[in-house]
Amino acid sequence: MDTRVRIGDTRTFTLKQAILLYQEGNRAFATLHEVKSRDDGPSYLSAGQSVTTFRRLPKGLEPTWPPRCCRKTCWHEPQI
Amino acid sequence: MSQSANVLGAFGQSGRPVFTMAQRTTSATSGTISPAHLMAQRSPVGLPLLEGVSTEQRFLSDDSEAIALAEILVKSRIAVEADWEKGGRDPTKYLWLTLQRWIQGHGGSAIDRRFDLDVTISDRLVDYSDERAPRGTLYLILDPEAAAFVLLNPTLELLEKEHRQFPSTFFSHFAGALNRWVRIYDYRDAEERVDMLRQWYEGEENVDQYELPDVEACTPQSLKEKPLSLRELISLRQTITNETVTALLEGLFELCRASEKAKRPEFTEEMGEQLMDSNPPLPCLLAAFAHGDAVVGCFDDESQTALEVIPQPNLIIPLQLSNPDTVHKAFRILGIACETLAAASRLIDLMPGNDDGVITREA
Repeated sequence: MDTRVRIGDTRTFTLKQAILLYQEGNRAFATLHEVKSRDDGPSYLSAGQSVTTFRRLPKGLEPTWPPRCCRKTCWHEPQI
Repeated sequence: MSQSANVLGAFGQSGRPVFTMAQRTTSATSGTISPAHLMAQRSPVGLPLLEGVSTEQRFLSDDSEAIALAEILVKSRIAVEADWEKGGRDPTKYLWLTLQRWIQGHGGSAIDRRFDLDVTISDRLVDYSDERAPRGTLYLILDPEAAAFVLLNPTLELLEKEHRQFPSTFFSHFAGALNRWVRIYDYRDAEERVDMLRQWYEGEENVDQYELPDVEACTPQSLKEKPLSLRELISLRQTITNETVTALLEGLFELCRASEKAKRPEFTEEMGEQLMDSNPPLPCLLAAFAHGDAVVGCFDDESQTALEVIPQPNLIIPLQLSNPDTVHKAFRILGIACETLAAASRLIDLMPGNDDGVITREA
């Protein structure tokens, strides 16, 4: 059985999944990985599954390159 | 230098990166080869480790209720001292460990073989709702993550060979004992679903275009017999020679005994206020006669809309922090509900044709 405690505004957020972003030039895609834990060592990422091909990375995940001035033209729809 | 250039090695004369050639070396001891030359280098490829990454983030505000509950549980000897250090001296984690320990002590492993359930200590009945219980009131809530599955026909057929009333008696007590604590979905739910669909379609043109699941046809005739009382069944046990049937009946008695040890807490008006406009509880167990029969069909059909509105929890056990007796009683009731589910899980293990329903869990 899974057990949880939820009293008041106290919340415990456990890392369950991680998204890895792969990028080549102006194209990127993401994979979703389960986070596995073990008693005798650090947690690790299991094999991932492809989530999506990004047309454009969400704000905040965008790399610093290309420079802001040409970003608009660089992030175009991928040719699938 | 780019990362790939680094991997490729040193720049050549042309200034472009080139592959580094393996160095041909001669062993100092002429004519001998050291094991290091024969063995391949360990591959650096592996699963990405999250060493140094925090895998838990806690948002902490007021934990006075958690502390009060932890204190009562320690005094009631439900919680143990060892978990305090194990939980990093955190009251919420301590409660979580205590809950886990309590469930494990009341058949947790047996339950996990067949059932996929959640147990929560919460101050509200609906996740993410702003409406919480009055301060000082908490709940133990039991709900399914997914419905377990039990196949009935092979067991009913075996029992019928022994006594014509055994199938209906077995089903009646099996479903009754479980339904005292959690919702199970069986042919009666499926019949209700079919009746409802029939009423919906009655007013429409071309009623014949709709094909309804034939629950009646898949229900064994043996279930129409009048069930025996548990006392009558116990008296008949002595006459049975078939070992499998005897084991099934022993398992049924164990389930019924566990189920009747306590009464399920009543659904109060205050709970009703938090659960206005909610759907019926999600079934913890689907009891079908055969794989893919009409009961399974109705269950699948209902499950399409079951989460359109928040469902009621299966079991709600309230406890008052101002009255430690209610806390002790609530945990005792949870223990009995768990023992009932554990007995059901062991009984399903004995029921022929149910080798497939065991849940495989990762360590």
